Amino acid sequence: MNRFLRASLSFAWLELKALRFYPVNGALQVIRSFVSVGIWFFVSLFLREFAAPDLAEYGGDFVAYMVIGVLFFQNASSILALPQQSLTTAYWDKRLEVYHSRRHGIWAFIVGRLIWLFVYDGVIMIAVLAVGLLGAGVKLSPDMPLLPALSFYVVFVLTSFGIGLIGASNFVFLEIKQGREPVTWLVDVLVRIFSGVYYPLTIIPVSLRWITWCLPHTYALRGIRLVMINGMGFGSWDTLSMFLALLAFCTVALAAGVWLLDKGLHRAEATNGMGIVG
Amino acid sequence: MAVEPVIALRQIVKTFQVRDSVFRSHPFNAVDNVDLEVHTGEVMGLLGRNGAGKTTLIKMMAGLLRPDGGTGRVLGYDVYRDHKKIRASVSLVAPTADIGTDNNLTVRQNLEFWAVVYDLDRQLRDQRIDELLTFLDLKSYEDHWPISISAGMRQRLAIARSLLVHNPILFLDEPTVKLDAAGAHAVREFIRKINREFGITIILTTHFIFEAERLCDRVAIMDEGRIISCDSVANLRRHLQRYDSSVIQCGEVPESLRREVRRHLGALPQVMSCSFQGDRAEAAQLEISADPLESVLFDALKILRAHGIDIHAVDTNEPSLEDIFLNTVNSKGAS
Repeated sequence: MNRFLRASLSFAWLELKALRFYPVNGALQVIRSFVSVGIWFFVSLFLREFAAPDLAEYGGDFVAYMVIGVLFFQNASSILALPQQSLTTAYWDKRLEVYHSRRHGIWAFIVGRLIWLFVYDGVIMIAVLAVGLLGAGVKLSPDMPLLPALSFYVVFVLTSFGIGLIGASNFVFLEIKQGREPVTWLVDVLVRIFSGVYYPLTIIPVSLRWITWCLPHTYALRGIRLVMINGMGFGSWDTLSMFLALLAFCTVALAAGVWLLDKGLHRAEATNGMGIVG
Repeated sequence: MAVEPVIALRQIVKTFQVRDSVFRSHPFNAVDNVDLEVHTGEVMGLLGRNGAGKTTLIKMMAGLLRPDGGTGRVLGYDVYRDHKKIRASVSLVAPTADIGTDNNLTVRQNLEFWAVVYDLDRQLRDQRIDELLTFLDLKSYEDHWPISISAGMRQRLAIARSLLVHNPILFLDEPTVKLDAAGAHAVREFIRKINREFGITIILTTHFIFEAERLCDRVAIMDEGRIISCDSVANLRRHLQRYDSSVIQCGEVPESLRREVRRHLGALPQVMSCSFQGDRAEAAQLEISADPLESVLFDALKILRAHGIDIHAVDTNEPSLEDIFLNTVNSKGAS
C-alpha cells in the first residue's frame, strides 16, 4: 500500500510539474471556475426574491444555494471524467502500455491524478468560496461544522471517482478511446437536471422525483448545503441520513468501479492490449 | 554462457479482432503457433517485416498481452496466470524513445520519477541514477529537458529508465528506429555493454539485418506471425548454403601442378569440391567448397605453399544475414 501511495504521489507530482511548466493553463482553469460560478451567482442574485419561498429549509438564500451547488457539482464533474480522461490521454500519448508495464502502474497513474485534482480543485474551491464570502456577500453559516463539511466533500469526491471508474471500464468494454463514454455522460446529464444543482428539487415533477433519489449528487449537495448554509452537523438526522446514503453510494460505486476497471484491464490484456501499436 | 531457458514458449497463438465498422470485426492472427526458447544471458533477435508479429510476441513475453493458445513460461512464471509477476520482473523499451519520457521533467527528474514508480529504495535511488547517467553518457545532460536533446540521447534515457531496476530480461522493441547512424551505433554499443556487464538477457526486434547480425547470439525470423527460422547467424548461413566456399587468388600454377594440388586437396575429408578457374597460367583462382570451410582453409593454404604457389588473396563467399532473411522469408523457412 505504501509503495502504491508513493507511486501515486509521484504521478501527482508529474501533474504539478506540468502546471509549473505551463502556468497559464492553471491560471485559465482558475478563471474558468470563477467565471462559471460567477455567472450562476448573478443569475441567482437576479432570482433571489422569486426563489426564496422554495428554499425555506436553507434560510431562503438562493445565492448561497446556487454557489455551493455549482461549485461542488463542477468539482464532482471533473472527478467523474478523470479516470476515462486519464486513460484516453495516456493511450494517445502512447504511455498507457508503459504505465501498465509496472504492476499497479495504471492504478497509480489514475489515483495520482485524483490526488492532484483533489488538492488543486480544493484550493480553487476555497479561493472561490473566500471571494464569494468576503467579496460578493455569499452567506454561509458562521457555525459551519468543519468535520461534517470535510467528510461530505471527501465522500462525494470518492463517489464521483467510483462512478468515473465504472465509466472508464468502457475504455476496454466498449472500446471508447476518445471523448466521453456513456455512463459518466449520462450521470452528468441526469445530475444537471435532477439533483438540485441549480434549482430546488421541489420544482421537479413528482412523477420524476424518484430519479433525483437515485443520484448520489442529490444526497451530497443537500448534505453539504445543510452543513454549510444551515450549520447542521451529524447531530441532525437530516444531515446524517444524507451522509449515510452518500456513504452507501460511495461504497458501491468504488467497489464496482475498481472491480469493473480491473476486469477491463484484464480483458485488454487478453484481447487487443493497451497500446496503439499492435 | 549458461543454457537454462528464461523464456520457453510452445505453440503460442495470438489473434486480434480488427474492427471494420461499429458492428463488424474480423480476426487477425498476429502470432501463430510460435515455439521459442531464450537462454540466460543471450541476445535474441526477432527479425521480420512490418506486421510479422514481432511486437505482439514481445508484448506476450513481457506480460502485457495474454496469448490465446499454447503454453509459455517467462522466468518460470506462467504467461496466463502470472502476467503481473512477469511484468514486475522484466523491462521493456518501446519502439519510440519518447514513449514514457515526460517532457516536463529533466533527464534526471524523469529517472527520479520512474525510480519511485519502480519502488527503488531512497538510498539506492540516487546511486542507481548516477550510475546509469554515467554508464549511458547522459551525465552532462541530466538537467536538460528531453525535448532539447537528440533522439539518440532520448533513446538512451528510455534505456536508462528500463535499467533502473536490475531485471534479468530486457525487451527492446526496435531500439534504433528513427535514430541517425551515430545514434543507432551508440545505442547498439550500449546494448552490447548492458548484456556484457550486467548479464541481462536481451530480446530485441529489428528491421535492420546488420543490427541483428552484430548484436544477436541467435535470430528468429518471423513472417505472418510464425517463426520460420531460428538459429545462430552462423547456423542459418550454413542452412542456406550447404557448403561454404572460398576462392583463393594464386600466382602462376602450371597445369601439371594444378592436378597435383587438386589431388592433395581432394584427399581432405571436409572438401566437397575443388577446381582451378582461369585459363591464364600466371593468375589462377582456386575454388574450394568444404563443410565446414574454416577447418580446411588452413590446410589448403599449407598445401599451396608447399607446392611453391604464391597466394595473393583469399575470399570467402559467406551469405549475409540479409541473404538468409530474404531466402528464408521467400521460401517460408523451407531452407
